[in-house]
Amino acid sequence: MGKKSIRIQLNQEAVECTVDDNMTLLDLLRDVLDLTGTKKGCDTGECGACTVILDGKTVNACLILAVDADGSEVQTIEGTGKLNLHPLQISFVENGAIQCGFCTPGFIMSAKALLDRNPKPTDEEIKNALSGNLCRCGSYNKILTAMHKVISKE
Amino acid sequence: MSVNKDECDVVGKNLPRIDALTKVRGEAKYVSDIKVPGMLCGKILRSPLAHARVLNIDSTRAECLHGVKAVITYKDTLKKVFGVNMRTANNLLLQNEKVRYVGDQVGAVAAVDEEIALEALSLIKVDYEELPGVFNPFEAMKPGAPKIHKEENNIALSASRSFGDIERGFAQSDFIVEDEFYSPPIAHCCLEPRGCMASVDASGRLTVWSTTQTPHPLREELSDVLGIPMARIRVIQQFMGGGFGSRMGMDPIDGIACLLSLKTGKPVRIVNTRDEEFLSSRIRYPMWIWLKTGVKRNGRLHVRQVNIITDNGAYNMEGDSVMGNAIGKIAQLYAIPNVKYEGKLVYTNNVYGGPCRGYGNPQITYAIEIQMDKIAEIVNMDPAEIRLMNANDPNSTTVSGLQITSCGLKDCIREVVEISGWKGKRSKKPGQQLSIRRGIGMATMIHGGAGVKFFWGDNCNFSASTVKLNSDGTADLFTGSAELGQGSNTVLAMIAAEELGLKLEDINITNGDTLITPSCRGAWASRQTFTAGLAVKLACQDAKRQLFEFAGYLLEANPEDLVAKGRSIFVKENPSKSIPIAKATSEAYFNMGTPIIGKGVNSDPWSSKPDPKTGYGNPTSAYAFATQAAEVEVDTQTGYVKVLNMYCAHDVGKAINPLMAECQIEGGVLSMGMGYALTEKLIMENGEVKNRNFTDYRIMTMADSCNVHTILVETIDPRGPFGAKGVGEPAMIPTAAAIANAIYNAVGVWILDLPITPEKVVKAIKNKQELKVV
Amino acid sequence: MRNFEYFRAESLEETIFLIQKNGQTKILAGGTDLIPKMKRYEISPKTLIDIKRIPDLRKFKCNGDGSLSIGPLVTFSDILDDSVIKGSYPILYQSAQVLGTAQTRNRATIGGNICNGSPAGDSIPPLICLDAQLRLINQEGERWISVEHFFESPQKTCLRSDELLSEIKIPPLRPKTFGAYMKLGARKALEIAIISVGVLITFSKELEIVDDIRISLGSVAPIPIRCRQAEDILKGKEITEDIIKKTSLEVQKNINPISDLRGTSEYRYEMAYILTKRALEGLITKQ
Repeated sequence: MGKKSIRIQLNQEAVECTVDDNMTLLDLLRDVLDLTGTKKGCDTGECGACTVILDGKTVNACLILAVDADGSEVQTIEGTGKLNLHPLQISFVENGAIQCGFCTPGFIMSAKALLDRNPKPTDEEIKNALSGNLCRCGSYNKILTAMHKVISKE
Repeated sequence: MSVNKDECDVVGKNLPRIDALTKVRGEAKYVSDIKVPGMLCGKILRSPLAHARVLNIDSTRAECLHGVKAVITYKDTLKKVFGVNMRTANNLLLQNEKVRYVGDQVGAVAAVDEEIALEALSLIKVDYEELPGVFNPFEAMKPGAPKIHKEENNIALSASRSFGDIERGFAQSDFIVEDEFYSPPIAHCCLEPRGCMASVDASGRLTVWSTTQTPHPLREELSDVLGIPMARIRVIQQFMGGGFGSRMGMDPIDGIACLLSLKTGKPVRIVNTRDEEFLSSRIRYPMWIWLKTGVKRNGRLHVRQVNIITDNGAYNMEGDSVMGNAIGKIAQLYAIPNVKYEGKLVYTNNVYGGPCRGYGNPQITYAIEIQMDKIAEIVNMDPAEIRLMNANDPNSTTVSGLQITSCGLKDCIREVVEISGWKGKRSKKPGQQLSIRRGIGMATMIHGGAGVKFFWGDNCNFSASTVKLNSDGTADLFTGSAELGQGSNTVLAMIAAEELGLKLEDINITNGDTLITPSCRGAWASRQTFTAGLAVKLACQDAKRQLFEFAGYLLEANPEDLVAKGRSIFVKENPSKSIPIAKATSEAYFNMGTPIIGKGVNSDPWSSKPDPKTGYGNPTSAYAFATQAAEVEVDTQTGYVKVLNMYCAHDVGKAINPLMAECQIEGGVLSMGMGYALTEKLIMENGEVKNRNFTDYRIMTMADSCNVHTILVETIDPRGPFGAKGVGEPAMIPTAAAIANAIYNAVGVWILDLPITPEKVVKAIKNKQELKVV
Repeated sequence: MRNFEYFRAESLEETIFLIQKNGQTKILAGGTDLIPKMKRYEISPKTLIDIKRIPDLRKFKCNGDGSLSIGPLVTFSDILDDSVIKGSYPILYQSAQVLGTAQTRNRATIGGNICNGSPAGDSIPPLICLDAQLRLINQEGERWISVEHFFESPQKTCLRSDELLSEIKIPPLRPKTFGAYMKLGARKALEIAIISVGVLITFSKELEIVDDIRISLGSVAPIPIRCRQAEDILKGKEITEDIIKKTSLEVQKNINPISDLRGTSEYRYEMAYILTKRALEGLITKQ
């Protein structure tokens, strides 16, 4: 059955591989490319732990077919703050916005995508952008604080 | 050099977590992230029926499927029961005679990939003889109800205790309040689904990477259930995406992964899907609580009686102690002279319960604290005042034998009154718009902050730690404790740094690897700061004693006169006489030929298992207290409750890391606390969980969060490390009751069964005469 | 998910051809409804045709006659980014604001939301109020059908297996037209509506009389519905508190909600009244 050769711009590097048509982008990242920073929390697009930035917009990688991502730009947590930490990452660390850490990569990607588009979002805009990322440890307010610190520095 | 010898350098500081950088880069490896060559995918075959006899299991077609490396059933096990309490354990890794809930484990496969494993599952043919099921404890107790195990009326445990004289107590009471409450089944919803990778090597030694809260006990349980000596089993706790009690003790996944690895000779990893997490993972015990309280005219609590029916589910896990904790709390929260508590733990064909943050306490606190507000209204007292009147005091003993040392309950109540603007907000505002009403309410709690002795044995609440001082003055710290994400590694490293006179970055901590670390009972009952912290402190004191021998020689001073601080050792009364710690360690290693290794064992000398006959005793070495107030806005037409603010004062003894303590409290409130109050409930139908995803099982999102104002009350516990005690569970214990009391203040209705859905609020308002709904 | 053959279509014609050539075909747009269903094995198509790269299907077009054409691949994020929608079609804008999560809105398409056929689809009551028309094409040609008549039963529309949704057309809006969409949920995000209400009112020149009114509800019946009997009460009348109440009560007679995981039928009945009333009251202030 379906197997395709695909090419994606992954964290600004060209990557080529052959995938089954039914493989998700999430499984491609985690199982084939060994990029396990993007997490699988529900696999049905509800928890946001698998959030990546696809062509500039946040998506749940578990709902994107790898073949569908052919030709697209994908940013994951591994490509964020590679040489120097992104200000969001520094702020999350300094402001207690991380507990178990499972949701953290997804939150960083959602927060980054928001600030890339809108460097000064309101609290309502932040909540709209980040409400698709669940945190059972309840770090929501600390994440908001961490974002405020980054926004006020811009 | 002038040094403040008393002020802490590390403890009490808002230092970033030591694992934060790893996590924020996406480099933390959780069980589902680890891969080893040759790794197979394991999948578990689960029963679709709630109650059935297993007549036959035919796995031949599955075994023949290309890519399948092993199929196992109960025949591949030693058929040994497992559990934290072996006296009552009755769950098997794989069922043989009967399945007792939808999701019960019947078989398992290991295959080269997930697709083949799933196909193999579908090829295993199980012949079931379906039996009638029973899904409600009241039905289960009726004569003639289907028998789930061997117990008559499906009663796994009946408990009853009393202190004082309750008949006289009620006779002497001026007012009596009596209510029934209901607490639903709740899912832990750890963001990381549970998983385990097991790998057997050529010599038959098993290495197990698990999402476990209790690595050392897991090793013991695996040894027992697999019949393999402990020396041939190594359990490694990976980074964990949450625990909240769900991963205390062995999960069938752990044992099954081991069995598959043993059979195939290959590493096998099993990770639950989210659907499996909801369907078959242990839950918070549902409870029906009948509570009756008698009070004197002046507001003094005089007598309390509780009866709890607990839905145990299909198997014994820790229902006896969870229910015991719940019923016992009526004798613990507030000073009260006459109490009687009874409970029945009843089997049903529902998914079984297990430890869940608070361990029965959120359920009973909901009842106790709503009744406190009812009583306040009857005796015409402010809810804060009546709580102050009845609050526990430091250095007191409760009627059931709890020895309370540090206690900041009154301080917590006062702080919350202060920061919330309580007095102004409690009075009714004239002219408030009818359809949206505001209210404020509070609740308090007591909870153990140091672990208890009666799991796995009669005297088993220890923690052990070792520390190596390296020749350059840094330290390697080893602790058997478990880091679930609550931050224990950072806190323990801070305790070590403070004790050794080093900086946090000088400490390299290793935890939860049974080969490398000494034993600790793990993360549960909010015990690790206190219990593991003391072990770490003892180990560092031991190392320091050895170090001071060498330093004393170098400084020509008496070791008893030395202090370690700021990476230096100096003479207490003459701080200018000092050397760097690194010099002392170097001297030890290279000139004295003696490496420095410290050992600390904390066997928890202060607590004891309560008397089995009377129930009297002090089960925990330290108690945490808290008060939370909720400010809400209720839409009287839709019933929607918006939490505007939470004000939380927590007696933490000493905040080793105040920022992290705040994170725990805020976090507990914003997700589990508010969810328990307003939206969470597993919806069961004939034993099957119906809402098995995050859309239908509603945990709080960022859009639902409210302001949380936190105050850390430091009572400096006399026993805890630097005065600290536990904070993890207390974070969410009083939240639901505070919200319920705030709703009453807003719209005059009590909702006694959780969650407080908009629908229930609307119905309650309708039934109430005074409010007119436009 | 079971495996399948994935095709990327470059044109509508190619899509139609592929549908005809291959059996058990599903169209892949955003995938936010389709992929979860495939993962639960509720559907297992042998062929998936990805239409996202077909040009001109992800556009807004203001037509000469004042109507608005929306391409079926327009995502809900596109709707939120569009100033024309925000300014002139707030009822649709509001539904995009409350749909799913940010990640979902970036992928979910308006065409997908319609064709998924859920009675809880957030875009549907607004589109019914706007009297949106759907252009369906197959190899034989095209047909137009109103959104209101597109649904047959839960998750089932009248889209034939060889048909594609190629355009959503909203007729010209009359001046003095105001709309609102309200969704009732237990949380502020990640919610499927307990119930939802869309209302659209066109006021007369004098701004006192209701010239035209549309009321549409979701999650109160097997399909999204329009409440014409309730509309008739308000049409041609001056909008007062009393008449709003009567209209909202009439809505209750048009609905047939069930009890499910999200709420009981009794609650839905009551909330249909409350939400309709609130939506109408909210529009009074716009006059």
